Amino acid sequence: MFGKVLIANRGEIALRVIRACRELNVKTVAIFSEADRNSLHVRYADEAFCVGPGQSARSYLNVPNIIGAAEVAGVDAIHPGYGFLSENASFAEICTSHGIKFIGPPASAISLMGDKANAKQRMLEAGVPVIPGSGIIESLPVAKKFCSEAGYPVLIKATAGGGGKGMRIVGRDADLGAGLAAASGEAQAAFGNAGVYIEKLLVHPRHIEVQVLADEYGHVIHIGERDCSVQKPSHQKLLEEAPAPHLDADVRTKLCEAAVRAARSCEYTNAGTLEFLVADDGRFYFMEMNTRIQVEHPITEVVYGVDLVKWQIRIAAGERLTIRQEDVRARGHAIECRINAEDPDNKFTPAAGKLGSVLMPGGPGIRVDTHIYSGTEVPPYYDSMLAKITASGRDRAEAIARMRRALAEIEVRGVATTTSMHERILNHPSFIAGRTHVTWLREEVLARQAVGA
Amino acid sequence: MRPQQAQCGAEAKECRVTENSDGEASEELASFVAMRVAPLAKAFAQTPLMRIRVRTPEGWVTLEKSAHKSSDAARPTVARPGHVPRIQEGEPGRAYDTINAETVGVFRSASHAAEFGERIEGDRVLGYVEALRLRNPVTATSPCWFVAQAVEDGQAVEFGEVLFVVERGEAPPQPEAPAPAENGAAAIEPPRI
Repeated sequence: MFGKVLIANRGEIALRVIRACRELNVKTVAIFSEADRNSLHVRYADEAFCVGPGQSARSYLNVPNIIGAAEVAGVDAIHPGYGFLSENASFAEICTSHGIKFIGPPASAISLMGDKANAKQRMLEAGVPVIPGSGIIESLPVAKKFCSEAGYPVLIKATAGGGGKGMRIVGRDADLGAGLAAASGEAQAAFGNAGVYIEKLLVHPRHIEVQVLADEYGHVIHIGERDCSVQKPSHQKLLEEAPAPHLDADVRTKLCEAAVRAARSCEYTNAGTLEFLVADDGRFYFMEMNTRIQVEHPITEVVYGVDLVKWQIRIAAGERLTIRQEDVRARGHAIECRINAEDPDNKFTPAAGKLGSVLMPGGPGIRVDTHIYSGTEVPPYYDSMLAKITASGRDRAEAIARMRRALAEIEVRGVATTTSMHERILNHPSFIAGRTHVTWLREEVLARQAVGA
Repeated sequence: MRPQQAQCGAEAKECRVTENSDGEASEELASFVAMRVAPLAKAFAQTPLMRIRVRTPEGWVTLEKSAHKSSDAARPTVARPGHVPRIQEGEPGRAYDTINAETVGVFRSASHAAEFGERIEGDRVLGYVEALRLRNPVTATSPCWFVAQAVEDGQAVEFGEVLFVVERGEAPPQPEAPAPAENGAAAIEPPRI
């Protein structure tokens, strides 16, 4: 096991890693920006180094200063947390070249899965379904053949596209010719390139992701799935739950098996997440792989009884993963609400400033991961997440009841938070019924709220 | 850096820490004394200055020498006409500028150390911070008068750490009259953090 680990992150995830290290009897080194001098992760770590001013680019992304701190402190490994440098293959390589273990997958896996086209190709080779897409459309018959195989609706996209230009949704064969002509013309006008291709369009898919763990000896397992369909209009996740409600057992098995195949195909090690879009008919398609620990990892930890962060450290230290796939079983249900310093009534505009009184919930089935306390200064430079509340219960109904109770206990004075939005979500009939999809919040909650106002 | 416990150097043992409103010197204050004040006090002791006021990353530090102890160190100098020491309203002591670390690493002194009162050009290398097997030179960046080196050779430094105290005014640093304060006391304001 490592003697000392540097945590190249801030906020609640830095605390989470420090806690895992403490339980493993590993010394910790925090890094911090001038804006985070009084942050809890600085206080809880055994040592701490200021690595730059408030702006992330000059502190939490300042590779020379982070490696400098690691060398001065004499650490064996660096845990990158999520965000910042966690999916930066070159940072992982630099750590290795300085004799410091990067707690995460090999740089080659980060690099491969970070490139969407290469990742998609690798998934196809591994037999993992990806969203069907055509090559450049050269004739209407070719387009028709693709659409009849993939099924309508489809999305026509410009090859040189971006910003929604040259895009058309086509719902039936009869409209395909007109759609192609319109998209192609728009693409020519916008980009000087009339080339278009077609992708199958999923209507109201769910975002379901699978947690994987892999050791450095070829043992790869999945730790179940998470449903992350409740997303802000910006596609950022707001609430996650495990297991995914109403997921057909056969689909779940296939999804998890595909995730393990995907991880094996890129010789993955450590913790990772395969994100899929799941259609109404149970078909699922690979979206991307997150080669790091996820924000929402606590719901998996609670439901499956696996400490993912400790396993990350143990695997990086060369230990064998001793969990057998057949031992991975969901026990009950868990929901996580992200309490962000954002105004849900004003397009989730982030807020910053000094917090007043902070009271966090507790009691049966409640886990709180947070770095804030009364009087904390919330700097404007970073992600606006203040806390993650995880509620668990014997079943989904109990988890929902506990989360409602926990939300009522939260007090964060001084900035607007997403707490009230979570209360709305947890009382919405579609959510209670477990019927959400990736645009549900925008279409069913925010749009109706706007109409109501 | 946040040391595990306050470890004041010999020169800082006479420090009197101003207590906070609760009447208790906080853990942060103890850490602040060990981390910022002790090295600064050591550097200050090597200068003929009677008072020094420096802004550190956590807050201002004002150090004063008592009259009886400083008699051998205080060296009379002539102030240039028109030179006005920069004393902030309501704050004791003159505020000096600092050269702070941009790089996290190990500090190395320059082969030719600058001396108190020496005129320093902007490109003069005052020391180095070693990191990633590179020696990163630390320069004054603009002409100034050298006052003191606040860190020791081989010391680990973090971003923002005070490496050198300098005077960027027109005149060299001036020893000031001793304060009529209690003997042997150095006043340290609580860090404003």
